[in-house]
This record gives sequence, structure tokens and C-alpha cells, in this order.
Amino acid sequence: MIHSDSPTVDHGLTVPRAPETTGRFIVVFAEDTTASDHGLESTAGLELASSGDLQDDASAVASTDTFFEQLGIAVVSADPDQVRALERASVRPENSVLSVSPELVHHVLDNDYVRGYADGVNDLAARVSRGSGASAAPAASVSAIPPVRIFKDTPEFTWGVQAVEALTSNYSGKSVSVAVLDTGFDSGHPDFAGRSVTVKSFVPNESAQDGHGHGTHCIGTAMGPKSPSTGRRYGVAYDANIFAGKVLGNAGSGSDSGILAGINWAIESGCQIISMSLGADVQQVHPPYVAAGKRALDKGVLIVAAAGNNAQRLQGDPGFVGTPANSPYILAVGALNQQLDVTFFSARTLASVNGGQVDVAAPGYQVYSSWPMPTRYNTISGTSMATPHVAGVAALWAEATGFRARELWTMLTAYSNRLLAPSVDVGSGLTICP
Amino acid sequence: MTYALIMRHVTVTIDEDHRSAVALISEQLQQRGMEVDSVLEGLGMVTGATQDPEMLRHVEGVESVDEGLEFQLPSPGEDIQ
Repeated sequence: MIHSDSPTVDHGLTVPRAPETTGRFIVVFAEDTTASDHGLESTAGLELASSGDLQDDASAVASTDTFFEQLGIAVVSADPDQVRALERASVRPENSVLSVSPELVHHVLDNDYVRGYADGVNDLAARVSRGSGASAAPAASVSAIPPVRIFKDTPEFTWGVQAVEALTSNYSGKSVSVAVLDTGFDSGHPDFAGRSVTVKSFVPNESAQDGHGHGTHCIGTAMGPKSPSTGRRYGVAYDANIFAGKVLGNAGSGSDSGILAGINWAIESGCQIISMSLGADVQQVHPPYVAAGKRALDKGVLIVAAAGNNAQRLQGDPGFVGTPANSPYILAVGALNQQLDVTFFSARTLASVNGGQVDVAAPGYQVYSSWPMPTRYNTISGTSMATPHVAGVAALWAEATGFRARELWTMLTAYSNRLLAPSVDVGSGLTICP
Repeated sequence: MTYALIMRHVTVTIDEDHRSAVALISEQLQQRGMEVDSVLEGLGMVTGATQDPEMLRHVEGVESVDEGLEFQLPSPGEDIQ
């Protein structure tokens, strides 16, 4: 842990402390670079030992310039001219040097523990003095509690696309295919004119046209346009290929056979991501979704599903994640409000179900998106609305990294913004675009 | 045993070792009374209906037989979906 920008209260100082460095540099190479072709000698006149030659000699690693073959990383002592040569090498795309950084000094965390304890005591003292009505000034080292950001829809953007940082992302979901398995899609919606849309119905005697609205709303959140002809932007992956599988009828109901057929279709159609804003309030894991989730991942396809809306938190009931989201191979999505608190209806992890946890969270309260014409737009809430936010973010990660399935899952959870809300409610936190 | 007369929706999951034989297993399931809706090659599953799910469990290559669940969204006018 590096205390690069934290105040050092243990010495009574409050100035930021620069990171401690060793004076050496870390050079990261492109994958598959070997000890014989890293080119440091020709680029910067540096001679390196290979990590294999040093065996287990720790003092040699600490003092000798070394190339770590398994990592494609070198640690070097370089003078300023040599560093400049390496930096120039790193900006040339044909070169194998990806980055050059100072080697940092890392510390164990005991100082943090003591400082954290001191902060806790000071905070408690401040709270007690406020609570008793005393006007004592808070201890000098207590930092102000940052104001909670409250997201709002603006004339240009929904609060959801702002919160997941879609607006600042350089990615659009281009060349990524996302299947939304729901109530179908209003193919005549003007906001999707000119888009790549593939529809299929798995509901007997019903076309893929959305007679409910739920499916069109979810598709809008996941893949709505960058600049709608009217109103604000509400979609994340505005350039992704849309696959609308109708597995819930116009009355909003469906069954395993249609949902599984939809998953099968999405896999065979080459989709990378499947979004399912559906669920049943069943605590037990349903075996078909364990197999389907795992087999989809094995074929490079990530399934995200709504955690469920069965909580009544104002009455003290946190609910539980139902099926199919409680499959350990399906990414379960909880719903956040504009303050990034868990919404009152969003289901909690059921501790007794292995793998049945909420994995990540996304905007799911007062979500504005597309709705079948002539209504055009609608604002509704639910973990159903949070799920397509994650599907859209996943499409951007898939485009940005080329990752699929389990690696994509890892990116979504690794890069989500941690929240103060309990992990049983929001998993790893707010999903964030690359 | 009146319940045996009711057709139940089921999902038959084929085990990993028999994934390539889904079509063949589907025929055997039909011989044991299953009305097949879909053969899902990509997932290694067969969906349909049967009066007696127990009969299907004994087909070689069957990992599990699960009764179908129903899913229901709120009506379009509800605030929480």
C-alpha cells in the first residue's frame, strides 16, 4: 500500500507525501517478449540478468537489473538519458516496451492500522461532542465528510448513463452482440432506426413485437442511441448489435423452455452477452440455470440477470436473490437509487445458497428509457432496469479488452466502484464503463 | 395416482459426457413418454412435457430432470418492474 496522497498525521504533518521510490525503474514489455528480444541493450544500453539465472538469490534480485521472463517485466537502474530512451521506445507502437515507471517502496500496513484507530477515536469524540450539543471544534485531523453525490437526469443524459460513466468512455459496444431475453422489442421505434436488430420469438403464437413494454425498455437502457432524435440519452452501448429474444409473452409471463431456448439461440447467434431481467421468487438454485450459465461461459457468453425485487426493506424484509440470478454462473445485479444506496425493493444475497449472491449493482430507480410507440418513453424502477445497464457496460468492456465470459465477469467486478452499502446488497458495487 | 395423468413441463439436462448425443437421447426420451418442445444443442438440454418425469431420469446421459418454473412480470403500468 502506497501512502502517496494521504496526510501523515502521525508526525503532526498534513502535507501530502510523495511516493517513496527506489531510484530504479520498472519496464513492462508486450506479451511474449523474451530475455533474448527485449531489446533493452540496443535501446538504452542496459544489460540485464534473466530471473532464471538468479535462482532464489533474493539479495541478487534486489540489487541486479533483472528481466522476469514469466511476467515480461524488467527492473533496471537507469540514468536519466536511459530513462528517456525507454520512454521514447514505449510510445512507438512497433516497440515491445509498454510502460516505464519508477519502482515504488511498499510498506506493511501497521501504520495504517494505527492511523485508522486514531481517526476512529477522533471521529467518535467529534460525534459525541456534537450529540451532546457542545460546540467544541472537531479534532484538527478529522477530515470533512464528503457530500454524497446525488445523480439526476439532465436534459441531455439520464442519471444512469452518467453514474456508470458511459459518457466519458471511448467505447460504444461496436461489433459486440448483446441479447436481451424479455418481452420482445418494438422494431418500429424511431430511436433504433438504422441499427442492427435481430428478433426472434420463443413464445407460442406471438410475434417478437413487444406487447408489454418491458423488453423495449431494457433494450433501450443496454443499447439505446447516443443521440436520440428527441430527449435525453438513456442507452449505454449505443453501437452494439441488438438481439431481442422474446421469452416472455405480452402478458409478461414465460417458462423455462422459452428462456432456455432463448439462451441457446443467443449462443448460436454469436452473442457475447445475454441480459435477462426476469426471475422467480424461488430460493433454491434451479439446476437448468446452473448448467446453462456454466455452458454459456464455456462458449464465451456471459449471462447477467436481475437479483429480484422481492425485498421490502422499509418493513425490515431484505428479500432474497431468486432464480435464475442465484445460479453461481450467472452474474446477479442489484438496483441502486440516485444516491447509490440500495433501493428498497432490491433483493439481498441469500447466505444459505452457495453462489446465490448479488455480484454487482447498477442504476435501477426511476430509469427513463424507450417504450413501445406511441408512448415512446417511460420511467420505471426495478432490478430489471439495473440489469441492462450492466449488460451495456459489459459490451463496452468486451469491445475494449476482447475479453469474454469469465474474464469479462472479472473486469465488471474488479472495476466496479465500491460503495458504502453492504456487499450482500450491492456485491462489488456500482458497475463502471472502461 | 391421478397426478400421473397431468402433463408436466420439464427440462432434461444432458451430462457433459453425452453432450454430442443430444439428438439420440431426445429420441429415447420420447420413447419414454416425453413430448419434446425443443432440442437445445448449444446447451445440451431437451425441453418438453411428460406425465412421469421419473421415467426420464433413467435414460443414459441424463444429468437431471427438472420441472419447469413459470416467470411473471408485473403489468406494464406498475412502477417496480
